[in-house]
Amino acid sequence: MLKSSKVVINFLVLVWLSFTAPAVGGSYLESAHGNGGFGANRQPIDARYAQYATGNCAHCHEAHASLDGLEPEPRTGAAPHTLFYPTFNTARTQNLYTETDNFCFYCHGDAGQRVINQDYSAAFGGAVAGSGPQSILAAFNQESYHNLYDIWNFAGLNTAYPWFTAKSNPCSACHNPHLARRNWDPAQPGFPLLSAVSRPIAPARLWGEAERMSAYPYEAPYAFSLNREPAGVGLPDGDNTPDYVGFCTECHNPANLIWSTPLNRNLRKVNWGTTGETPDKHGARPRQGHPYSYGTPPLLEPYREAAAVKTNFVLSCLDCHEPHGSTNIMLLRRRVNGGDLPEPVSAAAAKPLLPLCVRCHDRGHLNQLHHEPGYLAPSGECTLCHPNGGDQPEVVACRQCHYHGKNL
Amino acid sequence: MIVTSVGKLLGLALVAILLLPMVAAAEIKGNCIDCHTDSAVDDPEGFLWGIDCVTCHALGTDDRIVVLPGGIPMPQVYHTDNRGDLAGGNFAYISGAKLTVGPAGSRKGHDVVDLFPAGDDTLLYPPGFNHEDIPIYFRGRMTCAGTGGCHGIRNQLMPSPTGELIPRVGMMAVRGAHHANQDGRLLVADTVANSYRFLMGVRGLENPYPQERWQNASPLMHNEYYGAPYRPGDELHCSNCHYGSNKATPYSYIVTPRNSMSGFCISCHSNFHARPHPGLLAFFRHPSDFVIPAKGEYAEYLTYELTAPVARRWVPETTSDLVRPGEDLVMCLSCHMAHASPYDGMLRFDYTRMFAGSIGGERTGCFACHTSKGRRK
Repeated sequence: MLKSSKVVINFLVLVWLSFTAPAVGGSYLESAHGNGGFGANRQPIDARYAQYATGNCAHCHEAHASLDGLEPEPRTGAAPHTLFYPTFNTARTQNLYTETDNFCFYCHGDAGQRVINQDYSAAFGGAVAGSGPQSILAAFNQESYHNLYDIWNFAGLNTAYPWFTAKSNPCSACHNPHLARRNWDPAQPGFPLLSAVSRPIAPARLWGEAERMSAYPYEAPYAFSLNREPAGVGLPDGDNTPDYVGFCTECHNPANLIWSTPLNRNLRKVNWGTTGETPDKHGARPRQGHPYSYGTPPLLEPYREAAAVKTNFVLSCLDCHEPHGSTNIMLLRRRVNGGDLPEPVSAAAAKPLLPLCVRCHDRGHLNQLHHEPGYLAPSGECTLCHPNGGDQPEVVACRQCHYHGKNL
Repeated sequence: MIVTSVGKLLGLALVAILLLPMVAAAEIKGNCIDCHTDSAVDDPEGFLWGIDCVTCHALGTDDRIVVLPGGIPMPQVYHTDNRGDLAGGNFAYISGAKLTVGPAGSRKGHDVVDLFPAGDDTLLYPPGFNHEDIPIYFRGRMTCAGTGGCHGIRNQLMPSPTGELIPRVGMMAVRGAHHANQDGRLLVADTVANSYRFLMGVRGLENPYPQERWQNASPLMHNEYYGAPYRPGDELHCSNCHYGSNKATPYSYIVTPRNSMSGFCISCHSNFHARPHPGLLAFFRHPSDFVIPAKGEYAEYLTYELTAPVARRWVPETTSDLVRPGEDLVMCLSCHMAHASPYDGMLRFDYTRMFAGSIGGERTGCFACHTSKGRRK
C-alpha cells in the first residue's frame, strides 16, 4: 500500500510539474548547442561560418539564407523553422539512415562537424570508450533503434502535443535543441544530472535534473568495478540518476498504442505501475517472494544485498535499454550492471534474452526457481517450459513468458 | 525674357505653396537660392544647381545634420559624426570613412551608385530578388531615388516630357516632394511628399521630437514604423509590387505592398520573406511583418530596444517606449538598417559575435525578442 501510494504521488507530482511548467524555461546559454566553447558550429560544412561565434543562431538557422548573395551550404532552399536543411525525411520509414535524412545528423553524424556521442553503455554504463557507436546517426543504424518515422507519426498524431507538427523533427519529441545540455561531460558542474531531454508534454523545460530515480525504490546498477551508474558517480539510491521512468512512460505506457514499422506491429505496452493490466515485474509491481529458495540467492549484486532492506526495485528504463539504438534486439544495452553481455541478444538465438537476464539474476537460481513447486501456474506443467517433455533438456526462451505486458 | 518669366512664376508658386494650410506640413523652408537657380540655362530640368540627392545629403562632414545658411536643415546619410547616425544609418560605413566591425565594403549597406559609382563588389541583384531570371534595368545600379532606388517614384521607366520612356532617378523621382513634404504621422502615403521619408507608399510616424528629427534617439524618441500583419492568403504575387504591366514588359508602376515598411523592403528582397505554408506552423525564413507572439519568450519583450525596433499595426499619434507582444510586429528594420551600419548584413548589431551570454547582449539584437536564448534561466 505504501509503495503504491508513493508511485501515485510521484505520478501526481509529474502531472503537476507538466502543467505548471513555465512557458519559458531553461536556458540556451546553458545548453550544449548554445555553449560558446563547444556549441553549434557549421564551419566544417561551410567555411564562411568561421566568422560566427560558436553557438550563434546562424549555425543552425538561416534568417534569409544569403551570404554574399549565395545560400550557405548545404544549399537546399528554404527549410522549416528557418533551419539550413529540412527537418526530417518522412520517406525514410526505417533505417539505415543517412546524413540527409535528418537535420540533426549533419552534426550528429559521421561527417560535417562530427560530434562524438557514445551510447548509454559507454557514456554511463562503464563500457570502454570508443567501443560502441560514436555518433547518434551510427547508433540509429544498428540492429534495433528508436524508429524516427514512428516517433514522428506518434507525436504528430497525439493531440497532447500541438506544438509537434508535420514539419517537426522527431528528435525534438525528446530533445529541445535550445535547452538540451551536454550530459556526458564529467568536467561540467552538475554532471551527471545535466539533462538532454524534455518530455513532449512539456517541451519548454528539461526533464531529469530535479526528477530523479531516487523517487522510486531504485538501486543503481554497477557501472564498472563497484562504482554505480551513471558513469561510476551514481548514488546507490538513484539520486544521481535522472528519472527515466517518468520520461519514457509518457509515451510507453498502458494507454498508448505505438506502431512499430520495423516490427510491423504495435509495441508492447509498458505498465510500470501497480494497477491495471499486467504490471511489469521490473516496475512498481510488488516483488514476488521466492527469496533464497534452494539456498541460492536470486539476484546478483548490488541487488542481492540491497534486497535485504528494499522490499522492491523499480528499474530505470535505461538500466536495460539504449535510447537511440543497439546492436541487440529491442534496443537492449550491450553492457548491463557493470559487465558486458556475455553474447549478443539476438532474435536468432535459442534464448535471446538470457544474456541480459543473467546480468542481474543468478543463473543457477533461475533454474531452481522455475522448478520450485507452486511457482509456475498451473503447477507442474513441465511442458510449459520444456516443449519436448519435462524429462528433456530443451527449454523455451525467457521471452516466451517474460516481456513487457506479460510477466508470469 | 523667358527666363525672367519663369523665375517670376516660380516665385509665385512658392508663395502659393507657403500659403497653403499646414497639415503636418514640413515643407522645406529657407532661401530658395540654396537649392534653386533663377536660370533655366543653369539647370533646364529643374532650376536646381545641378544637384542630386548626395549633393545635399551626403556632404561627408562630421555633422549628421547640416544647416544651410538660409536655415534649411539637411539630414546627412554620409558623415563622420561620432555622436551617432540618423535612423537610416550611415553610408560612410561602406566607404570606411567611419569605423566598421570587419572590413568596410558592400556588406555594410546599400551601396548606391550615387556614392559608389563602381556599384556592388559582389552582387548583381538585390539578395532575395525574385527576378534574377529576367533582364532588369537596374542591375548593378542601385540608386538613392527613382528607378532602382528606394526614395521617390520607383517606377521602372517613366515618360519624359517628350514622351520617351526613360529611367527616372535622383531629383526627378522626388520632384516637388521637398516643397509638399508632410511630416509626422503619415497615414495616406499616396504621393512621395506624404509618404514616410519620401518612400512612396509607406506609412509611418516620423520622429516628432524637433530636437531628434530623423533619428532613433532613445526608446521613447524614435520613428514609428508601420507594419501590416500577415494574413493567410497574403502570399506574394506580381500585383503586390507591379501595376500596369506584365512580365514581358518592364514598364510598370512600382507600388508598396500593404503600405508597410517591410512591404517596401520585400519589393526587392521578396525571397527573404517566404510566408509559412498554411497549416504547417513553421517559418521557412525569419518572419517579417508578423505579430510578435504574446506568449513564450516573446512575451518578455516589453521595452522598446533600439537594436530591435518594432512596427505598429496602426500608425500611432505619438511615439512610445513600450512594446506590446500580440500587437506589435517584427519587421525588416527590426534587425537591419536602411542605409548602412558598421556590421555585415547592414545589421543593427554584430550578429557574428552574438551568442548566448555574450557580454551586454542579453537583451539586444536577436535576444530582444528571443529573450530566453541570451540569459540564464
